[in-house]
Amino acid sequence: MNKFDFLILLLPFLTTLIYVLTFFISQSLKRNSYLSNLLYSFVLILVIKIILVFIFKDLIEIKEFIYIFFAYLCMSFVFMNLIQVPISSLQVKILRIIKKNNGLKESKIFNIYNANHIFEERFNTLLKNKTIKKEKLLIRINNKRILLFYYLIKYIKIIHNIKL
Amino acid sequence: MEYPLNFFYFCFIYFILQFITYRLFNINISKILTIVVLFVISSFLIIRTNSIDLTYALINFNLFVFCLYVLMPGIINNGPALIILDILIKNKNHSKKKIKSIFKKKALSLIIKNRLKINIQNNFISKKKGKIFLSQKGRYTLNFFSYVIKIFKLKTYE
Repeated sequence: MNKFDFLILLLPFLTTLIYVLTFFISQSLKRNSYLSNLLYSFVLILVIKIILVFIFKDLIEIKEFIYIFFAYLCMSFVFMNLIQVPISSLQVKILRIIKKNNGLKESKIFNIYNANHIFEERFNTLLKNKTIKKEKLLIRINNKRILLFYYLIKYIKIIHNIKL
Repeated sequence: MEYPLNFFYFCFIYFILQFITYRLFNINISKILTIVVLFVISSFLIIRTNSIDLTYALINFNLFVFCLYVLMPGIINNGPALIILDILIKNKNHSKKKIKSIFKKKALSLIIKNRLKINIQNNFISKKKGKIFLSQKGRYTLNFFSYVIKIFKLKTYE
């Protein structure tokens, strides 16, 4: 393995680290929501990578190109999930409730946190991030891009034989 | 077989294996043990062959397997936001009240019961005489996530 190969090998890891730092800085500035910061930071680093690859296009072959971008996509996906879990995971939320009330009876957990609470939390979040909107009394989907994720998840569920 | 062809084959075979085992036997193969085994085999192959193409392929393949491991809980369990979207897509003219009543029928207490079951299976909590206690593993997990929240200045639902 020569120095160039070693550099290519490290590149996705380094750029993911830069992505994490960019997200950290954008969160410190507090200008946008965390979701926007997460996406904008990801796109920014992706664009920088595309520019770098274009500049060094004579040195980079298709196999290196695929490695650099696929590895970055995977690691970014894992990082996005890592950020998302403490915010919206029900499993983590239940762990927090149990931590506050250790030795709680199972039935009491349903009193503290039930379908009503979950619905209100998620409904308000969807309204706040403009995924859905209120039209007089009716509720409609506002952000059509969410349908892409919806159908993707639904399709993966179907091939795994899991009902929604 | 040359990279990137071998990498696409690895991922394709793993994905096919994943959904066949889940469909037929209800077994999710994307587990920590699978990741560790594949990582050890990949490291061995990389050291033995000393091929840069195979190294690229195996790093990408291992990352793909890890991504599936992260993705699968979201596929197996129905998230509340996904249920709300599903209701809205199937019924376009509904008020909040109506959506809430369909949500409660669909989700019932299953969402919480299911998550409690997963937490027990993963040893995050333990059940003794009908009472639920946080385990050491659960405590470490919560501490880890509270560090993530502090470092990245995130806001939770609390």
